[in-house]
Amino acid sequence: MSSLIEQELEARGVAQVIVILKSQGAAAGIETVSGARSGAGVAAMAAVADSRPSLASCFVSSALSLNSQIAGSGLRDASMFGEVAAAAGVATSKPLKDRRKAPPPVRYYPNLGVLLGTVDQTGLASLSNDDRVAQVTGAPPISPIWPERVAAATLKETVTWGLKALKAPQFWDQGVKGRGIRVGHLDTGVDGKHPALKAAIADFAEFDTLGTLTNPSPAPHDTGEHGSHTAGTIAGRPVKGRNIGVAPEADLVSALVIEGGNVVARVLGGMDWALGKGIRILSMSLGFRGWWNNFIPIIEILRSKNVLPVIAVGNEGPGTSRSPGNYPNVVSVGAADEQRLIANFSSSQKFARTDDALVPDLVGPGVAIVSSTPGGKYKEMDGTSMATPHIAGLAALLMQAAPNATANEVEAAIFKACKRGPNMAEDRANRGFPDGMVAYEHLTGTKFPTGKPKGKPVPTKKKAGAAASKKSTAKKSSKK
Amino acid sequence: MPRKRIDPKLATRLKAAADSVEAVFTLQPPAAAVVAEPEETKRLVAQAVERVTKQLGYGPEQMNVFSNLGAFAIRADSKFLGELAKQPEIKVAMANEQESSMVIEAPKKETAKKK
Repeated sequence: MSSLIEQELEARGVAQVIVILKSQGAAAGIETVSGARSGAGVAAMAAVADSRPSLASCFVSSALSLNSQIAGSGLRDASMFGEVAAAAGVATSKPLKDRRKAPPPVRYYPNLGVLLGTVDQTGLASLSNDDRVAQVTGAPPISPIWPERVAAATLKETVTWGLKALKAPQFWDQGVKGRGIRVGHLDTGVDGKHPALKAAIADFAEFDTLGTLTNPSPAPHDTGEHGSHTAGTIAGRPVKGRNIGVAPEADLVSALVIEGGNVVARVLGGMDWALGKGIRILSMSLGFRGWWNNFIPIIEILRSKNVLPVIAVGNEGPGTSRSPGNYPNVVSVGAADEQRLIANFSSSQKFARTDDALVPDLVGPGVAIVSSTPGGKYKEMDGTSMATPHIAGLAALLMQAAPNATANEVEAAIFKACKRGPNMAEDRANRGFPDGMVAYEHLTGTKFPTGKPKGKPVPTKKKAGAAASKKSTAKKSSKK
Repeated sequence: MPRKRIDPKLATRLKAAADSVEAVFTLQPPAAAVVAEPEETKRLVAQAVERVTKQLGYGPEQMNVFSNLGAFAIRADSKFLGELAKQPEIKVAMANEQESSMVIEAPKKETAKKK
């Protein structure tokens, strides 16, 4: 059995599998029993007599399956369903509208002599022992290669839409801008000369392939533009009265850990270093496709040190996610647009676990986001990578406003402040989109102040965290 | 004995590799704690590596301890890493270089907005 199947079964209780048949006739039972979809040539095979149990009985029609995810996603076109078929060299013959009604337990590709479906442990064992089956392998994640969605932009608005949506300016009016809060930022680096960023970078480091700190440490720089963009959204300073940063007085502890993006020790080196720099939040707009559980103990360590990990769920659409953004112990962030519609690309996935089964936990501003890029420029980008630093910045505002609050309490307050709009399906948005002022009220137990502050930042009458104690509490209440 | 997990990619690489391999290991946490203190992490790593060094008669090429995370990265030959993975201090062993990338590419504009 392939390790991919083992990992999927461990994580979700079911796994997508590709079954290679010994002969095409072996699939006759599929058509007979399930009546499920098949391509040309199956009608003839259906006539083949076979008294053995159908192979279709080995598959499950699970709510966790890829097909079910797609059926419930509301996708109108270019769905991953079509891509699955395309990947297997089979044209999808029925309109998607019909396909959505009843997700099939198994799909048959007659020209290939291959079945694709979802199995549980029992089904997998049955398939593996069936003499009609030549091989059972894991179905690799569907990985479309998206072109960059980047557009040059100028700062037209004094405040970007994402900042307004989170109510960041209302915090600023109270003198709360993230001052004194250190936010870990692991990315492609950050342009230290950008006018919006140079004062935001408290510390910068670069790591080699074994996670060793490059010495001497170079000046802050970006190997691409992703890192400068995400950094600007967290803590970019105002330039000529125009704002891109949610927490424009927070301090960035920024590590350059990705170029190729596939070296684990570089990321760990960055995390280890940032922890030593006293971060309260870790913003990571990166992750491995699918379920990769090796970072779970690392994230547990961050939580034990009162650090809030805020991590992107991925840009591959419904039925997908990335690790560690799909772990139960992180704030998993998806993307929405200005109209509070879930971005088509935003990943979402259900897992077979009792704790935090659905990812993302929430959605943030992730479409048409203007932020800083190297060379003193600004660009508009889409992605859960853009939504994640918005939520990290919001956490920084809340941590300044309630300095005694723990990471768990801030997380719970953000979760409780989320609301799903009329066009947000729960399986795509989970708790929905957060309101910063409501999060403040949950965190402190007091109304959000109005009017000008008198000397000190937002007064907190009640002990921080009084209204928001545990992540589990927030989950239950937010789903009511 | 606490459960140990070996990344399948590392297992495959150790079987196939003739030259040195890079791996990342996390340590079993101490009882009632999520992670050992930084100094204890360094001691446990040194203890495990020295044990294997004595057993095989040679050591690793290079290593780096993440003392805040209870983890370390190491470059050594495949036999050394295979033995190291068996040591009681180790909780997870994974390949340092993964096949896929952690970079999340931006989507194209046409797919950006939808309910």
